[in-house]
Amino acid sequence: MRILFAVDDQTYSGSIVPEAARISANTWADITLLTVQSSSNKLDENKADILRQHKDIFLSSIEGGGFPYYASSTPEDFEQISSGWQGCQGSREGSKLCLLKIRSGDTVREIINEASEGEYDLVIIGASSPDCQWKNESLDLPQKVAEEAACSVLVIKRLRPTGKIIGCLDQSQISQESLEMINQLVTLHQADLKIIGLTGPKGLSGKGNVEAQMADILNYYTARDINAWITLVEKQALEDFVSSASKDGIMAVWMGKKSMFAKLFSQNLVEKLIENSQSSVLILR
Amino acid sequence: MTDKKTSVLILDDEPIVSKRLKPSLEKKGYEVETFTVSLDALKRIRERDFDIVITDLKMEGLSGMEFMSEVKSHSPSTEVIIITGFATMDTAKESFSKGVFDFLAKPFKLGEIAEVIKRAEEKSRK
Repeated sequence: MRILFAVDDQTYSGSIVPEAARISANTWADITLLTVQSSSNKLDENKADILRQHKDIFLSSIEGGGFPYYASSTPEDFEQISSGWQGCQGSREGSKLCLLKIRSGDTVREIINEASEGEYDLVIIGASSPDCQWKNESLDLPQKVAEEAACSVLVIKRLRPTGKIIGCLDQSQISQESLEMINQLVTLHQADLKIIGLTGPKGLSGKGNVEAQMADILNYYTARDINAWITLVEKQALEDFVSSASKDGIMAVWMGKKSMFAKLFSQNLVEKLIENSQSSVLILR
Repeated sequence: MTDKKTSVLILDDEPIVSKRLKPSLEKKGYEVETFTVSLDALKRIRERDFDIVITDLKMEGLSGMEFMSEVKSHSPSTEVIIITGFATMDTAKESFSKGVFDFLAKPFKLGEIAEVIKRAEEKSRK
């Protein structure tokens, strides 16, 4: 798995570095810590220092001296690359990558571009409070990244133990990658999985034999020893349900191109969900 | 004289994994055999050696960890790559202690596993 961790110098980024380290180390992932500077003329040393500090915390958060990542004994230098600057880390055979990168340009656009160009599977971004504002950025930066990134995005809000993942998983179209991302999240948190099924006046909603498709998803998880169950929600009540359920656990919403949830949710649901959710939100693609 | 193709065995109880990997690896010139049942794969590795084995961890019957031990005891030079949807530090460490070449958590892009296979191939040819 490849993870892109977008950060700046604010608390909502710094406070989730240990959680990002936990996710990365447990999934044995290659990770890039990315920040963005506006000017392309010269490396912003303050931003470089912030990345170095975040990396130190990242490595010290992992038991066993940062393994499987390589901890250099000297501060990391940066070299210019086409998209900005990249840390020159040393390496050790068998270690996973923990890269530092600084891109230049518009923050939202550059995070999205890096996610796409680097073929990442997951973007992690912090948004610790409803009024969280990325420094010098629009209020809704995490929302915009979550809406536009080509891969899944985990917006980490409050850090607290989570025993439940609430999955809005489109039973007829969900991608294998999304099912797998849920598996990893459930494993990491040792959580139960509540799967949301939609009902309308004619029963369960969706294309084809929805009942069988939902049973397939449930069987997929129970066969893998995940404690999962289905909760039915009326289509009209979905938005209210989602904002209320976000108090109980991490919300995972599949928003792939063919997602029924993406069609049913009002246009700005992702924004509202991230803004109002009291827990972390995983947008699956 | 022709170069012998690098042989790859893929074992995953989810057919979609092999369906995705096999054509991509064959296009890169690998000889690929796929299995969804661990006991069938076990029978096959007793019949012939593979250069590289890619195996899931959590499966009915023989687990990926047990399968890897069987592979290594039968053919120590085979490089084993673990792929899993349920990754933990403990399972990764256990895998490496048993001689795994690399450990990948799902989901992963084809490019990522292709790089790992290439490195495993280079090692197996040394």
